Amino acid sequence: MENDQYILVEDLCQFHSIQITFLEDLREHRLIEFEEIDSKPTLPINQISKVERMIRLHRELEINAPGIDAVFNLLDKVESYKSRITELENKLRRFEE
Amino acid sequence: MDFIDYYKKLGLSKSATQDDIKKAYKKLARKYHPDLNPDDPTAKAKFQEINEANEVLSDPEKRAKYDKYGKDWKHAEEFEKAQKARGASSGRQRRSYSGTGGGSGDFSDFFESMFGGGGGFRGSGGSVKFRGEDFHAELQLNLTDILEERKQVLTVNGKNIRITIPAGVENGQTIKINGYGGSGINGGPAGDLLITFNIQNNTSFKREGSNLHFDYNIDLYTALLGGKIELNTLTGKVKVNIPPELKNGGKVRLAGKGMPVYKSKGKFGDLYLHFQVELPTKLTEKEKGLFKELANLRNHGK
Repeated sequence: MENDQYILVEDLCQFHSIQITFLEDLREHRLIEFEEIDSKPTLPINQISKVERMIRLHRELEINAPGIDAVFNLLDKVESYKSRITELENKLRRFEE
Repeated sequence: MDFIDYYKKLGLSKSATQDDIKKAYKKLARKYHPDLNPDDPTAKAKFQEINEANEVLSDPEKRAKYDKYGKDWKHAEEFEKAQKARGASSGRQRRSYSGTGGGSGDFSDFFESMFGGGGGFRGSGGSVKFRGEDFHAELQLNLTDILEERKQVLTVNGKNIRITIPAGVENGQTIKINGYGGSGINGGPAGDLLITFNIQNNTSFKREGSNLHFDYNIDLYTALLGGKIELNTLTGKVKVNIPPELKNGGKVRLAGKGMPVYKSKGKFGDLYLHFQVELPTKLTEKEKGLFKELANLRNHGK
């Protein structure tokens, strides 16, 4: 494919020796979105690291698409709590200094 | 190099069945998987340890060798040489975390010594593209260093990287520099560089986001009658008008005299002065008399 901003879903599956049905399942659960280029499903390059993370969770921990959805939601929450903690620690420093 | 008790790593006894090993590994992998513990190097190290333990114990051939030589593993090589060539392929595929596929950094020296680094199982994954590892760095700056945008050259893994640090960056804030992490494997994209800022407050102001706070001790007379005070801010001296009858604990806001607002060029937070009224001490007889007079005036209108 000429466009280097996208990777063919087929190629990605081949690279990771993973069934295309798994990526279709991720799409079904709205975790990723395919873009059709020349009538072939592709993924934008900037989504690859996220997709590879999902592939690892699936392959190494046997987590399915709904599970990955839950994991990602919880990780987002952890991230926002971490930011909030940093923010509160900075506020607290005002009274400790 | 120390002996590693793989059974202990997985919380198992030597009599564990293959099913026990599988279950113990999976349970620990779910706990320590790096994707579930982002930015946690301890979890990553633990994950590598249990991976290594699983690699050995779940493979009957390796497990037999490990069980046979145990703590005498240092001599295993000599025994083995006599029996068969080192590194015979077991045909199994190792699990690898992104960015480390095909590398040799995932296994301990103990593992390398006992099972070799060039075994057949290592050859797998050669054609898979992996994104490089993210690098984490911490940068310590003073509060006065971030009053203006600054450019700084950092050396990360021998590479010089010129970064622009926006004014007003927050303590504990992490910025991501795409593509400056570890190199990708087999043509995969490089990881990112994540820099966390540790901002040391080297001023007498207290910071809260883009606002600053300062406790100012004001004398009784200026607090009661009003007046002017001169104050050093982070950007120079300012004169502040104090209104009469200032309350103890009262505050005055100096608009735009705080920290620069992050990524909002030309915008600044405010500086809040918190006034603590200082009462005079060591009063002279004359002062005491005058205060008595004031007290009478206030209490009895005389």
